[in-house]
Amino acid sequence: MLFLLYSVLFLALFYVHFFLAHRAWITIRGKRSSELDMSYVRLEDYFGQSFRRKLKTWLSTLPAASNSTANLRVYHHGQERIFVAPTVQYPSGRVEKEILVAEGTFACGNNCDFRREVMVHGDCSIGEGTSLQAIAADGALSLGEAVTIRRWVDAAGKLTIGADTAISSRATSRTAIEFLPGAYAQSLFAPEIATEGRNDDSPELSTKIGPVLQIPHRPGDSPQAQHGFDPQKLFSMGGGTYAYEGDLDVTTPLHLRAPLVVRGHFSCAKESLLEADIKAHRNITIGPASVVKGNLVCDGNMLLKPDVYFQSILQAGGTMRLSFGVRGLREKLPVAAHATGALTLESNIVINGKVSSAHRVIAISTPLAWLQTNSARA
Amino acid sequence: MNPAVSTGGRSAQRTSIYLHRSVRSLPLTRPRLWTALALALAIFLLFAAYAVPIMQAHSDLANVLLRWAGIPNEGWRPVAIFPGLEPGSGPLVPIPTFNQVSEGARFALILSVVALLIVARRFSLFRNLANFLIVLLFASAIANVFFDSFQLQSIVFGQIWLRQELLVWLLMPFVSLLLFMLPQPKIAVGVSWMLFAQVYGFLFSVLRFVFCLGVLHYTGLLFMPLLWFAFGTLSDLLFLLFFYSISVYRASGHLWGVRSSWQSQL
Amino acid sequence: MAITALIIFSWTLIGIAMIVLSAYAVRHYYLAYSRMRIAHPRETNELVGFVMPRITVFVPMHNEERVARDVLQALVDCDYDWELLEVIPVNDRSTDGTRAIVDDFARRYPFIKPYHRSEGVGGKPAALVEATVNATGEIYLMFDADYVPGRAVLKMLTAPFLDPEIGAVMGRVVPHNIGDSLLSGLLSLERSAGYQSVQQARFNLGFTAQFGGTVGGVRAAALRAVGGWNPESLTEDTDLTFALLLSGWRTAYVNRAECYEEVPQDWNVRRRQLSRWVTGHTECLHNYWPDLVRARFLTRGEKWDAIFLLAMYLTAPIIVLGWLASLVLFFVPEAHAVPVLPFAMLIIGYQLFSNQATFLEIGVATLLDGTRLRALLMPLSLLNFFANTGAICNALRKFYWNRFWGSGGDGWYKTHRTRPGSDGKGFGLNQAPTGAARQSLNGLYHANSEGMGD
Repeated sequence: MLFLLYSVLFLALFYVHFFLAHRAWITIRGKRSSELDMSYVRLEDYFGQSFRRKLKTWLSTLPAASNSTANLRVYHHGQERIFVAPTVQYPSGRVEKEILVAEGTFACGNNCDFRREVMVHGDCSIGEGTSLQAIAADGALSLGEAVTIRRWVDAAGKLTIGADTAISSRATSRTAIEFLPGAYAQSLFAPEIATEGRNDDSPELSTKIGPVLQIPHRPGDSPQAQHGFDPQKLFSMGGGTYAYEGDLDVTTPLHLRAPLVVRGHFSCAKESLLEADIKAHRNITIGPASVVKGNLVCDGNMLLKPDVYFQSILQAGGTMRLSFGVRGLREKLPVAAHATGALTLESNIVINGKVSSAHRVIAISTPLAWLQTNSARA
Repeated sequence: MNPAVSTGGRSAQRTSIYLHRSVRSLPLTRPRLWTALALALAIFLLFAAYAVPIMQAHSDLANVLLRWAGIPNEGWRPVAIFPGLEPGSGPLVPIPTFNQVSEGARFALILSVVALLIVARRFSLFRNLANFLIVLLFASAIANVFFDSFQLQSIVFGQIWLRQELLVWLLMPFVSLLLFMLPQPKIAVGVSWMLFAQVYGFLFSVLRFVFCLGVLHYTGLLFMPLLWFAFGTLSDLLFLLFFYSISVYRASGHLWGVRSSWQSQL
Repeated sequence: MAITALIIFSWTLIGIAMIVLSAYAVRHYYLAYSRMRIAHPRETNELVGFVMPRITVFVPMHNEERVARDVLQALVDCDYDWELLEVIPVNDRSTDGTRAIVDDFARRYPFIKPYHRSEGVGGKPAALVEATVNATGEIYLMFDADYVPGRAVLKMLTAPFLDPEIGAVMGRVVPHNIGDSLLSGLLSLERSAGYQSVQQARFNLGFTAQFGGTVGGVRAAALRAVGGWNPESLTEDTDLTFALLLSGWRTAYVNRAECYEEVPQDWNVRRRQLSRWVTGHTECLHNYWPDLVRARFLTRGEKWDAIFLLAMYLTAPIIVLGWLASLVLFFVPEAHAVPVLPFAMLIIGYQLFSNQATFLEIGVATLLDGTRLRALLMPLSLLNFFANTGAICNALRKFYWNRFWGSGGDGWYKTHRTRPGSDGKGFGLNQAPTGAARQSLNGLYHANSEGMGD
């Protein structure tokens, strides 16, 4: 009898180990999972647009508070307040904890602190050293030096990101972004992104260039290794794609005619023409004034030397550096450059599309002295 | 209704971006890893160093429960566990031979087989486990009927049990390290789970051991393989899974933090 | 003498089980650990929408009138540029209303070009072989008829093809019918672990992901390079994965390209599904392991990973043999007389140590997915583990029996559909927005402030 009692208690304890599972099953039974957002699409300016939409809904549905005036309407949204004014001008050092909406222009002095989002329907100018949570502008937006944005920035007009400005998340514009030295963001997206010192003169190409190496080589080409390329190491993967075993450091201008997977480092000399995609298992270095029509993908670091013109997508598993004078542009679609590590943009870079990094995108100034000794023209 | 669709949050922030992807990794910092490893090693060394007193405590506690449950025990005898280790203790609980087993016990065997067959037929998910348990019962019955020499005494059962459980106690810290320490956002919570699992493993082992001895005492050796399998290592796995599921459930809430509203309700 | 031999044989079996299962356990622990700690999974999410080749989407259908509208409507509503999109519903000898539904969509949307098949070898791979002939895309994507892709999935699946080494891509399937039965609830845990933990971890570590034949795609040039679909394989997806791997192509995994699926809610259906997977997988193991060992393009780690992947179903009979060997030793009194440390350790080791690895993966996946309540189902997963073990052993038994006797194996079996379909309303969850879908800069900007889901 005692053992029977013991058994009952023991088996009850044993069942306890299944009890929560049993109860969870009863809750789940008959239901369907719904964690996927079927209507999700990736939009680069999502944050700004989502904020605009929510604000529009709130302002159209919430009544203005009783203390509203002609120059300042106040709305209460739960624990938050939304201040709406025709134009807004703050002196330096101001701290605001509300959501701010300027129906016209917005300007603030230096070292202000805006703890909540700011919406500007006109143009906007942010003073040096100011901190913001996030800001959306329907006009042009100018961020002064050393501004801190804790989340995102979105502008319909031109976005100027001042020197040493820090943006934790995305910066988007429907017009253009000027990205000044010392500034960083997680990603930039605009029809045109430019760093300082823009100079649209075409680089002077060499009058004397070495023999052009073609990959895949042509039937009459030498089977001997030359200019850093060994034909014995080139294999067809089928489907018109080739693989190269080991490092490929081409010391003469390269004309790449088919997709290539390099199982090592890849580098090419200046004024190369890369018409197909390249993947390198390690680093990629593209010589100055080269034209890159295919995608560049590497597991390591990527360096585009001065005046490289790329027309598609760059992806680096490590860091990426786009040197002075790099241009990224193609018809119909924007270009993109993404690095898992830091992505560094030197001066005089223009990219029509996106630059992003899992770490940060940084603009740096290219010293004139360095330019004089290292330009593609040398 | 898709929970991802915003119903207008408290703030201008989205209530959801994309549910799945907001937690990209777990906080496996170096302090956490070193703490986990140090704790696992400490528990391992503690159990290794104090294996004999721990086994003795296991036997003492089992002795108390045997008395409480009314299971006769003619004493404890030393049994060799592992080389280099002092002997543990095995109980001398009378276990009837197959011929000595009462009709009731044989009937219980048949009933068990029938019950398992019914469960297997009714619950397809349980079928393979039920079939395996039936195999164990049949194997035991065959061994009992045709091999008179197969007479495992309780002391041997105790020896098997202690060997098995000692290894579980020694291995468990390292398994707990992975299960409890690494995924937990708070190190202290992970440490608590590790220690709790270790202590619970010890206590649960005593309870199971006594239950098995009781069943053996009243029904003979017929159920020994089944008991050893189902209430032995499988139960060790079970309780670890049970605690792990709770640990993950709670960790999920902390990990997602303010984004917990984005989590699936299921 | 006989007893001694039996003991030695049993120890040997247990030893083999211990080595194999411990190797798998270490592998799974490492995968789960690496999945936990890698903060930036390998993914091309930032580049979605920038890679826009011409694509062909195949949707094999055989008597899919209940669900055909849903999948076709979902593809219409995807945010891929219609100028670059071709959808080929492959109507494979349907006898219900599938043909009428498909033709109706074709009349309304010029990029939908049905392929109707009325004869030939049955099965999805054979149908794809024929349908591929007229495809014009550079990339072929595949969805089974009962799947409903979200709006962004096509772009997400296409993005990894910017890498010329990528020959195929695999998205993630997410069980939708988790509450239909306990089995489907437990399978959702299994799927989570398989995709969120294992596939992503393997891809992060540089191994090739496994192409699953649906919610995935293949580069047309790569497919041609390896000789196209293998109509004789029960798992043409696994076959393709390794055919590509041996030619130097990789398969990418896109965790965020998620699509609901219906998992079997009935064990008989599940058993048949498992049987097909086991047979196909093991067939691939036999076909490819010699080439994998000799492969010039693979590192040693990649070779081991590939073999582990292909041989994974063999662990089930190894576990069973280990258990049976333990049982034998249990009944042999002599085995208990000696302090058989290895005996006990092996029992403990492979039962406790290796099984936990699988559950660790489930836990990691539920943490990353945020599916809290389902985590509590884990104790019941033990039942699923036993059920799977039995089914896998049975499937392997039939496979090797057929192989030994040279007889035909299982034919292609279509997994039974249970979802009733929602007449093109997209699972009834979200109404996909219509109109104004082709936004500026190829859909990368929000065209207006209306109608976009959170």
